[in-house]
Amino acid sequence: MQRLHPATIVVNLFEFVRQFVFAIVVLALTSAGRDDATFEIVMAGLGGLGVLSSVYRYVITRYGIQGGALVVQKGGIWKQHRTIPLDRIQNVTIKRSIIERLIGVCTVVVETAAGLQTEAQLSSLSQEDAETLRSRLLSVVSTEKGPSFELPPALYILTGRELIVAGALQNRALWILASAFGFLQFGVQGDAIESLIRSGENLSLSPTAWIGLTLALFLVGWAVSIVATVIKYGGFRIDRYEKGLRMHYGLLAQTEVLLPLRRVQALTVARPLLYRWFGYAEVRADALGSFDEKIATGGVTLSPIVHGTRVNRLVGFVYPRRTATGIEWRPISRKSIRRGIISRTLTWGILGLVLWGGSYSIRESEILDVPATSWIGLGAAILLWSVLISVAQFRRAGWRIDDEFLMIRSGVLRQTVEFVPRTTIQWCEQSGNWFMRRMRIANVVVATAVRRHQVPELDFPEAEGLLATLSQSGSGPGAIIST
Amino acid sequence: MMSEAGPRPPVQTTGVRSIHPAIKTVWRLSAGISLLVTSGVFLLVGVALASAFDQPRWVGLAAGGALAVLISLPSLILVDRQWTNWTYQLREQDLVMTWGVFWQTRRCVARDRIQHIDINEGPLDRRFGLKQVVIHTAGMIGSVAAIPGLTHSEAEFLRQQLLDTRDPDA
Repeated sequence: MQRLHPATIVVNLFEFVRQFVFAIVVLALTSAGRDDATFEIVMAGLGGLGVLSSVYRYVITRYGIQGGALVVQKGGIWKQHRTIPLDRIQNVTIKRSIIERLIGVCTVVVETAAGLQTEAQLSSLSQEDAETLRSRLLSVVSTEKGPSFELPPALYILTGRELIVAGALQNRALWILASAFGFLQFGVQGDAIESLIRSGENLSLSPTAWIGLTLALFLVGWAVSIVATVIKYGGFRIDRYEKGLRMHYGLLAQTEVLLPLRRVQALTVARPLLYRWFGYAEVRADALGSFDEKIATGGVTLSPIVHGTRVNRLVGFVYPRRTATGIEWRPISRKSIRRGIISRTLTWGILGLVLWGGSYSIRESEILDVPATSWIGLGAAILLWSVLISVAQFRRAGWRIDDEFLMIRSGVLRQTVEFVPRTTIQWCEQSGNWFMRRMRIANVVVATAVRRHQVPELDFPEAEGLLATLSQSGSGPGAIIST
Repeated sequence: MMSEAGPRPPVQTTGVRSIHPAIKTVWRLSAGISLLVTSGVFLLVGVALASAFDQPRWVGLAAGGALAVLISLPSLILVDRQWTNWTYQLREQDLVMTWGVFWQTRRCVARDRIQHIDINEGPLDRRFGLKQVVIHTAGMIGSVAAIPGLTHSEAEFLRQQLLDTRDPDA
């Protein structure tokens, strides 16, 4: 095990001072001209603390390559012994801050499969040590080449019609309307706009005029929304490059998104309510970003909108043998209806009772004087709503597992179908609360490198069977991240 | 690719194992510390609120104390259940862990999905000679699990089994 370069203490101290520079300046300004020694005392304390913490951070850290893994040990009050197998390392970068450049040392940053945070950051090492470490770490890593940038014929082009529908269906019009109302509401109370409101009153707009004004605002918002979408996604096309798909779009600011197919962790076809009425869907891929390439991490829009007839084509770009239609869905547990009704009624019922109690106590002030029959009506409405939503969710939910994919169907208003390849599943679990255990149902959750997917409320035997099947996936090809 | 460690150690499996009972004391102590801290804060807030609403000081003290105890009590009471429900089992292909009191989870992670492993110990852990093994897989979803209350040899055994026995060509 090796220590860091002793100059680390200086680098740490510099970083420490940089964190407090604002406070120091403020303190210096406020204590200028005063006769006491506050500034000197605080500075001495801060300096002592800085030196101590810098030395501490230097002393506790050791690193080395042991048995095919990079080991980073931090042994202070909180001890950590981190082991990173060399074959899991994706990238090693050598960085230098200004202070490091002056001293002639550098920082080594080690990344494994593109998590959001750095797996190890060794600061600071001498130039030679850093280069030796990098070559030892990278001797087992195959370097990844960037994509070529010639434009092959497009695989897929978004039609103008689809673009306009997408703009029209995105709810920006409502946003604009809401903000306009918010402004008016605010204006009624604000002193500065009072005169404006007065002049509005003097105009004495009739109710029909108000409705007309609202409608006009709505239409303008709608048009703005359509134009914004056309500008953002205009010229949307998908090409293939050697490692996957490339999405290219934008009339003014052009965006290019690379989607190496090996980095796709799951695919989601979603049909929000409005999209569904007009026969459209949206397709998104969960991608695991990359440290060196500019690959977006998280949900990558394969197409902001796609007509129902072309969904299977888009899915086929990513998973050639897969279609979104013709899947025989297996139902979830029937007990989920009962559980849904009970827990929804309880939650909303408790909320209603609290409101009732609240209204009782302020009834004297006659702010809220609702007769008891209304509360009974409200209770009935809650029950009815719970029943309806629970039944709808049960009927919509479905799952299916085959040799390649776990597929999940869910959502009542925004209907989704998720495709999770079994090779991208990192871990799986079966879980549930006390109530679910009593009913002998459990959720099954799988996690890819990007997010979790849930098969809700299966009967115990089915959940256990699914978990057993899923944990056999582990014997398959392991490398889903390496390209 | 040959690992620098030379020949790989044999893959071993275990039965369903519990964590070390001494972790219960660690949990109780840390729950006690957090009870002290929260009650300190709550008592102060209670007194401040009482004086703001012209109530006698003892009302604020009682309310703040009761709230602090109510918040901290479950974690003190449920320590035994928490310990009973924490298990792990190393199987040929994967590691299975169970935990939780109200919300119970049984999570499986395949050996060949594990990216790296941390062995952590806090000041309280060290007092009782315990370690925590944190298992990380690829991506941005955080760690798979942190197994608390392991002895040094158990932690080392897990680390060695989960990292050194992997087939590097898989």
